[in-house]
Amino acid sequence: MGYKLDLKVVLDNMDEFLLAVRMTLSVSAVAMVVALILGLIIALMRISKSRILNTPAQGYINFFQGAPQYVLIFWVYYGLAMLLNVNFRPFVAGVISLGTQYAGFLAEIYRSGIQAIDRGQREAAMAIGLTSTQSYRHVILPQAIRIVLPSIGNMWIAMVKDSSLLSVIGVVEIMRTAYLNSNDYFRPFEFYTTAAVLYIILTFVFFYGNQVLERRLKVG
Amino acid sequence: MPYIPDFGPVLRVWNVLLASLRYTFMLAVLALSFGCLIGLFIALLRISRYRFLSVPAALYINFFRGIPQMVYLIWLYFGIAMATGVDFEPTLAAAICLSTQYGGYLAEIFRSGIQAIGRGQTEAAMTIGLTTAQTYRYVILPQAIRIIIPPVGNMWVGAIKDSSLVSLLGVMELMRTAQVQTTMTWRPFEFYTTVALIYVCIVWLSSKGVALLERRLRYA
Repeated sequence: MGYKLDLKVVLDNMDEFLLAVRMTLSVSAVAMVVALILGLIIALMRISKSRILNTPAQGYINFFQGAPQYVLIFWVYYGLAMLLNVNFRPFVAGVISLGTQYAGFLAEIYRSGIQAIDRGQREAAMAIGLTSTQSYRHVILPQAIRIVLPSIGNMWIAMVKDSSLLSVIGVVEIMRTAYLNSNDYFRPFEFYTTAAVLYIILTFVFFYGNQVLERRLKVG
Repeated sequence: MPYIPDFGPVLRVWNVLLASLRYTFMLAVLALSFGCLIGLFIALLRISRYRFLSVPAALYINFFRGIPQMVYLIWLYFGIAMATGVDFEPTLAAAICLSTQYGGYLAEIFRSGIQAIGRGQTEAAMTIGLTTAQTYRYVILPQAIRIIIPPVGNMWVGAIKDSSLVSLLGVMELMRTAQVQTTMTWRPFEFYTTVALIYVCIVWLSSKGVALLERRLRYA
């Protein structure tokens, strides 16, 4: 008995998938903003000479590099919620778990970018009388950002893919939509294939965009 | 009323958690070993001069680069099973999923390793009369292996973390065991914290091992 493919059922629910794409992108975007800011703070702590600052930063990075995202999601949504006695909305729990983990990844990326800037730049900045903060703000970070932008782009792609895990706590993004629909229509093959295709399109677009960005940065 | 953490329930089933690591390691080992076989094969296809070999290989690699692991896992376990009428055993489905996916990642690592070996090596091997197969077997691969060991070590770390996802299919590895225990004791914070820390320890030890290996290879 051959399996009869039914693509009509997918097309009928395409509007739901478009909303789902929007949810995937918005949860990833919010988490990315959190990760970018938190990651920078941790990177600056990590390269600080003071041990009170760099030891916790190192611990943070090691923890979030080692803990699987899937475990973190459960930890935040069920564990942390119980500890703090709050009821997270799935979206918020998703942003916390993705954001904190990617902050750890981004901290290492920032650090490599900052350390790639020649010492002479910092010394020159100091020599013309900039304070330490000013030399970071106006001299080092603007140059480091250029170096790390392609890696940040890769993190964004990974983030979009990882956001699929949030379906387990009920964030209605692409994967969750595929799950709900395949339950309703009992068509797992069609709906999960749709989800897979959407993710591949998204990552392909971002991957290509990232390459264009990388080429631009190299020329400029 | 503040929540008082109680790790007693975790300690009582400590041996169950540790025993479940057997599956975690088994899956990671399977993913990496079959992944290496698949990856080497795909990498050789990918660098072939014939387009009918290199194009499918590139598609394979890009497919796995683009698809989130969770989507692939569910698609395989529910979608493909439905479409083909094959009823996968969860552990088998998990092993297939992880090894085909890591095959894609490893193919790119192998390709970069092989291409990092200078053309002169191939030419010299050909000049002394080795066939293409012999050149690969005795000249290129032994050198390439040195280059690719560190990234393959990172893949091992990734496989350990990614194996937590197959808890979705009910494979009783570390994460699933914690979930089951959580439903019985209603101590999500304690169990997920413990699980996260166990993963962090394994990943930390593995990265130390990889770093050690990397240093050895540099001096050798």
